[in-house]
Amino acid sequence: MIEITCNDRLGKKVRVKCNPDDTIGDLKKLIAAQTGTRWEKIVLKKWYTIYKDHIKLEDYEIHDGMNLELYYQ
Amino acid sequence: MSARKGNHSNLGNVERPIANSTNDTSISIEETNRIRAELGLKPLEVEGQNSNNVEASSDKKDVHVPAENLREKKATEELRRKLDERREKRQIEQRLAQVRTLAYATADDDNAVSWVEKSRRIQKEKEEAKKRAKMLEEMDEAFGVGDIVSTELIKQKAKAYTSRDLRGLKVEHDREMIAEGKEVVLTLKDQSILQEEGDVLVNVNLVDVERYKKNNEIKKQRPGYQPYEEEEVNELGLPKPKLLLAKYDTEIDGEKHDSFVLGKIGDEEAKIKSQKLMKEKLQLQQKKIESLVSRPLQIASEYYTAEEMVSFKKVKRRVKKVRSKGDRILKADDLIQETQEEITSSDLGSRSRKKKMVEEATEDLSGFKITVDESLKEIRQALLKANKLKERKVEQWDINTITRSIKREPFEETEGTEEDPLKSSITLNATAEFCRTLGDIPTYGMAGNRDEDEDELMDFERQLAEERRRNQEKEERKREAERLQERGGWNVLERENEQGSDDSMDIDHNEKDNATVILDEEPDVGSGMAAALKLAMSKGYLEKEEKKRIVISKSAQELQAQRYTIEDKATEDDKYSRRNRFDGPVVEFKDKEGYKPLPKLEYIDDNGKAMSTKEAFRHLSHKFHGKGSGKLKSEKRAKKDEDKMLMNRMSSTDTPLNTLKKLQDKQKELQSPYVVLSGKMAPTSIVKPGKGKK
Repeated sequence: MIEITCNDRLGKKVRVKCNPDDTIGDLKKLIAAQTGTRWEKIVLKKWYTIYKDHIKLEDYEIHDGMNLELYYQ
Repeated sequence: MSARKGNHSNLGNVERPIANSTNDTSISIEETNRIRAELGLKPLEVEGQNSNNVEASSDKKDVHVPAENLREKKATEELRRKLDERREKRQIEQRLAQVRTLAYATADDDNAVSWVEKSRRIQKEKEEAKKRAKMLEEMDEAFGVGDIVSTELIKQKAKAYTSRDLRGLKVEHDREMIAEGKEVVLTLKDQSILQEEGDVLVNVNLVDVERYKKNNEIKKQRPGYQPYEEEEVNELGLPKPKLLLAKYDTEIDGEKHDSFVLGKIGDEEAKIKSQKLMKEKLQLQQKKIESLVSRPLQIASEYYTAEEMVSFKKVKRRVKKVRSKGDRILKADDLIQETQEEITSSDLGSRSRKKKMVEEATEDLSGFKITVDESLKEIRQALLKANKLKERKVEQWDINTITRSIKREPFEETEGTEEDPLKSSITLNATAEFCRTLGDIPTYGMAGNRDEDEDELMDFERQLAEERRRNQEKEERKREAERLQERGGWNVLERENEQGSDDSMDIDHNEKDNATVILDEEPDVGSGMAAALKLAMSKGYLEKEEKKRIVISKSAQELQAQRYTIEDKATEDDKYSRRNRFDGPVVEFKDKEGYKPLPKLEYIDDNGKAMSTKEAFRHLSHKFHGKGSGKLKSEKRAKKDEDKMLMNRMSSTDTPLNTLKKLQDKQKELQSPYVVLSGKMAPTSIVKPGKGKK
């Protein structure tokens, strides 16, 4: 289990617990469940890379305690 | 800030844990698991919760592998090596321990008894071996095996491959490559199976040498095109024949190898001997004996010796070739002519004919000369003319002509004219036809206008020129004397005329004709316009253009005709014209006798006005220099021109505004002798009409 922090810098900061073999899509759903936004509207970014839904967290080398940027589209 | 509840999320009525404290919201593991279950995801893998999960996670964990310690590794290797060495040593020592040393052996032989025993044993063994061999031999003899073996041996010896068997085999090397008294191993050359030629022997080393040589030669080769190549010489000193594109020969014919056949020694030697002989011969040939002693010096003489005179070539004079009837080769045509002659002149004596012949010969001599180096064309032409002559001769066998020709030699002019027109034949060749179409020589080819037979055989150009001249003369005569004895022209009318006159023609008449040429009787002016014109022409009042040509006297003409060429004519004409140019016309220009030229140059400008000298000069100057006057200047000039024009247009009786005319018009209109001028004075003032205006 890893814990990831997502911050949209507009007042929403969420810490989500997930498995490293979850996909980004799963993570988005979890975030959506926690924040109340629709998961389709969420964009996860780290600097300029936009994370794609079908790829696993471990493949993006997202580790425990990492910060992701949360955007909406 | 408080976290909000996602009331509109798809999770519906799920209770959200409200994360407080910092901006951070997080939910517990259980809560997450619940959400995950709803989403259809597997639960979170929490350590310590599930043993399987732990193992799986530990598998995934990175394992730190410590870096290899090189020193340790080296140390272990060293150790291992040492151990191996020790082991090997031990093994060798073990092996050596089993071997008896020398000292040990001697110690063994020291014992005399044992030594004797040993030697005895050896002796015994030897004897036994001998015995066994003897026994075997005896057995062989008993069975007769020995004979068979011996015969076999002999046979095998006979079968052995000797030099005899090599005879006829081909060796693919130059004979000189294989040195005498040296051993060379020859092997069979690789050949394709289907090749039916016999075996070929080669030596591998020699093949290599040959290949090396060939490569060397290829390296030395120059580019294909060698324009200044020297001729190659083979070993005998003979020049090699140069083949066309010899460099491709090997590719076309395949490579050529020197080869010789074994066993044909005599043949080879003979060949070599012959080659040597050839070489010697050639060397002998090439040697030339040249004496170094020069000829004794001599004083050069100014005169030719008798021997030199022989070799001295005189300037070859142009040989006049006598061309008479006798000279010619007799042909079938000639024979026909002969018979005709006999037929036509059956009543003639042989004497006269002889005379004629003589005459002909002389004529021919004077008439023409044929140089040795005449071209073929000229010869052909001469033949053609001779042919014509022959025909003429037939015509001339008329009593009249003969008698006349005997009597009147000087009058050559009229001689030809006397032939019978019926018998005359016209020979039309290409040139004649051409000239006829030119229109210049209407009577070419007819016997009548040719006075001398010799002339016919002259060069073509000369003949043509002369003919032209003669025609001119004739025309003149025709003009002067109406009755010119021209016959045989193309014109039918003339022909009729000529026929009529022909019958009455005789010598006296001819003479008279000649006389009339000089002293013509004056035509009657009263008879008509034609006669008057004729008279005028004869007197020289009226002239035809052709008469202006200079009439050359007959002798001069003859002289000219001798060496007449087209080029000469051209230059003469040129000279003539040039003289004319400078001297002006010879004859006065009568048409405009009172003419005096009035030189006046008028220039007209673009508007069609005549320009003054000044203007004309300016105009020409502008044209010459290629630029006109400037804008201001041209405007000024235009204005000036306009003023001038207006000035010209202005009447002298009226003002420029035509006041007078207007006044008169007004009076006419009002039918009154006065005009009322409007102004301050108004109606009271009356102007008298005579005064016009105020």
